[in-house]
Amino acid sequence: MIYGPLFLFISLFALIPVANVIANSMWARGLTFNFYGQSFSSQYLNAFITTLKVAFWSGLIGLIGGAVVALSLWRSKSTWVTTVISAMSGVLANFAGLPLAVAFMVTFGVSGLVTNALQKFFHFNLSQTGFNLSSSVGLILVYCAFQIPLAVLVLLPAYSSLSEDLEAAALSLGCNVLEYFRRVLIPVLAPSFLGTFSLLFANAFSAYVTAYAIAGGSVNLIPIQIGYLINGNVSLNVGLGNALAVEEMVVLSLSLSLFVLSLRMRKKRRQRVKGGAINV
Amino acid sequence: MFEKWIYRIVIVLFLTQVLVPFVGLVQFSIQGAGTTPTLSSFQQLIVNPLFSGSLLNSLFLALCTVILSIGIFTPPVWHAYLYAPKVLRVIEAVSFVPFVVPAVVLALAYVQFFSSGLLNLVGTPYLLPFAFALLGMPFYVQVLLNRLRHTDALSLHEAAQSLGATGVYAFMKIQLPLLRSGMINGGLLIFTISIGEFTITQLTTGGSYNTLPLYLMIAFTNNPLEGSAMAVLTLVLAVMGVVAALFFASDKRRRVKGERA
Amino acid sequence: MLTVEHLEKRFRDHVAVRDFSIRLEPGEFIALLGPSGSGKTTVLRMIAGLLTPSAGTVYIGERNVTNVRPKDRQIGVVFQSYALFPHLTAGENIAFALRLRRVKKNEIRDRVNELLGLMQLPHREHYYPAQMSGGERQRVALARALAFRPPLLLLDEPLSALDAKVRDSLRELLKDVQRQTGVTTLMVTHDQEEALSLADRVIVMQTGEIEQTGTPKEVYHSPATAFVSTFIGVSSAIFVTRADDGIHDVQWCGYSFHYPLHANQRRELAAGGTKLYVRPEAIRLLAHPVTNTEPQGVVVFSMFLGNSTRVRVRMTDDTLLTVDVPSGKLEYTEGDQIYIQIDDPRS
Ligand SMILES: Nc1ncnc2c1ncn2[C@@H]1O[C@H](COP(=O)(O)OP(=O)(O)O)[C@@H](O)[C@H]1O
Ligand SMILES: [Mg+2]
Repeated sequence: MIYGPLFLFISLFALIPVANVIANSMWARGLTFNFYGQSFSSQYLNAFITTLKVAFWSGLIGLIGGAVVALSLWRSKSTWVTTVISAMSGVLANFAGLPLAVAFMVTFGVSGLVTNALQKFFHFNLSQTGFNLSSSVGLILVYCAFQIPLAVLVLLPAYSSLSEDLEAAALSLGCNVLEYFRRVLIPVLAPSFLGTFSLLFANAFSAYVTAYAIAGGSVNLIPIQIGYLINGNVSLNVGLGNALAVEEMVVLSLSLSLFVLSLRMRKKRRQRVKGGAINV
Repeated sequence: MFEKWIYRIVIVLFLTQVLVPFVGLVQFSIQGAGTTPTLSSFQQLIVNPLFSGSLLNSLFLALCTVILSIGIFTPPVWHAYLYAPKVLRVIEAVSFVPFVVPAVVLALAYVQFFSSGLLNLVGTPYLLPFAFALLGMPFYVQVLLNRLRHTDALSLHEAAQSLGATGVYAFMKIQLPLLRSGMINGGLLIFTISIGEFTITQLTTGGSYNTLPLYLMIAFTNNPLEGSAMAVLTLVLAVMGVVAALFFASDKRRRVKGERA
Repeated sequence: MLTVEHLEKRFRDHVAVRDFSIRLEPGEFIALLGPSGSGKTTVLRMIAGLLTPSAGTVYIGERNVTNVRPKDRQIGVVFQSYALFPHLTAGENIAFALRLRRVKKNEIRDRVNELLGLMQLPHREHYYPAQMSGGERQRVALARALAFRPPLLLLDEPLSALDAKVRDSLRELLKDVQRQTGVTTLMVTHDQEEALSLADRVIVMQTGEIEQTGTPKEVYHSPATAFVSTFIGVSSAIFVTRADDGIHDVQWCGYSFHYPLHANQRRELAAGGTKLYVRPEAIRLLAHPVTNTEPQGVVVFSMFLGNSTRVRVRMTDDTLLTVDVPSGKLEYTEGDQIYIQIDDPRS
């Protein structure tokens, strides 16, 4: 059968190992919720909250930044600028990972470009202010470097799907451009914004490489904690790792549901009544 | 006009935000902490056997993943698209597994599941092509489906069969050439994902198998200059990949136009 | 009410509209008729302020509004694509302009109800655009454009996206609403029937220029140019000279008859002769000549159309005429020898 290899592959390399994780998170010689109990103890609870915080803020900043940039690209109507920026965003959003982290570390490092420039032109000493890339704030800054481009990529098609007549109608009814944005564009695109946010949130919530490279041990995040448990940096406690993994999957499922919900909302608005279903 | 200028300023700010780290990276890789620019870090990198070894490993892994993905994903997606829309919905849903199961969790799952018995694969690179294929699956499936929808494969297939072509013949002569560009674009995505994958490689092999990203991490820790030179090279590779994909895409458009004329 | 002078629009080196001037009297209903791509939408958008003219002036009343923003022009616009706000219900769409103008809540409610009644949409107030049919959406769009009582209404192909039945009923509604509200209206359309049946005056346009302006009867019965004659209905072109009997208007092949003439045509006639575009229903076929001056011809083609039969006749000078013979009259078949008379469409 033609579907055999695919479903064997999926079962063996995704479904069964993941089911195994879920089972092991509440089974150790009998049903137990000890691992979940541990996962809500101080250190891991903190990790959970920090991860949520970093994912939320980088998602929100990414959404707002990406929405503004995509809006500017769309309204400036220059196809070649849009093509170049889309290609750049594609690289940044999907493939940058580790090199991006390295770029930030050297640029904001002791003799990095930004550090030197701030010192030279503004006599501003970055390290004296206590700014540190390997902190929640630093991490949010680095995450934004791929979150904003990702939002631009996702939102450009949403903007171009808006009919120009919608703006013309709003203007003729008495809106200025800002009122058009506030009363029409933003509410019409709200489902797209919601979907984009859930995508960015999930992206940051599960990010490992960037966090590992930049913050290592100094920012307490769930993916980093799971990585430590695997590497055995911490006294090996597989059950705890499993519980954290399940919690991570629950959060990601919730944000995926949010994404699916936003797709539904979009579809509902576009739906056309065919034939005489609701005709007079 | 006032409004236009705001948009221009936003775009310039965005470009600055994007480019500053990269300018910083390039500047650092050729200058380091010193003042005289030099390409010595790149020279060191190229002659370093550890680097060329990891490059070969990565290329080999990526190639295996591409072949594996094309082999496992293409026939079922094609078949389900033509004959079994319900199965297609299942395949699409399943392909989104990586969005719910991130790389770290997958690594944790593998470390436990493949640690004993017949499938004792932890610590070896053999798991990696399968893991990478799983991570690339949503992208590959979507690219292929876009291609199928775009060309209306269904009616072409029915036309071929109504003219008396058998299933196998119709597949080889009509569907395969039609799927080719989807396979190339999807394969390119899988290749790029595989070349850059860090998490699962590090966590399941325990550092026993050196790939480009792993070596980049090590090199940067030991010698930031060499590490940043390598980051530059990796980014150049990624940009080339995306430009190649764009080129393929535009080539496709030209050919379609030619067909119509 | 609305005066447009020498309007012109260039897109790079392509001229979409050139030297366009019109004048609308208060309460008038004018149709701008032309084939697709002739620049109708471009004219409409320039009047609404949605597009900046390359040259020319737009006055509303005495006020020069050429450089006034759309929001300050107080013009109602209805778009071909409806352009209803998908996130608002029918009622909210209609109330949109009133809310912007901070009208009191109960006044808004009254106005919305009044318009829903006028548009025969009483039960659709809480429906979203996606839940309504095309005809309903177009009526909501019309109500929305009229809500703030604009003195001028612009309609861009308001009926062309609808299917035939809905179009007919909406056409009557549109005429009714225009009469009741007395709003000065400029409607763009490529459908001659729509233009002729709705408008007080019709402006025919081709490749960005006005070809003819006149009442529906004028443009139908005496098209000024070959383009107008072929774009609006069917006609046969004949070359006529001034009648030498001193009674009739024109003469063709020795046959004199009355026919309405356009000013240009009258000028050309004085200078020798002009082309006349004769409508198929203005020509009558006779089996025998009445006055012995009627031109003679042979039926070469006939096709039954329901309420009439379309006949093509080749005259002795090789001119081809298209004639509609009302059903129930004498039938002609190919090869019949006939004579023709031309009736004055004014009588
Ligand atoms: N934004 C634009 N850029 C370039 N050309 C345009 C633009 N809008 C309209 N045109 C051109 O102007 C001409 C008139 O268009 P339009 O006013 O839309 O015609 P109509 O409404 O009569 O169908 C067409 O040839 C069209 O291609
Ligand atoms: Mg138009």
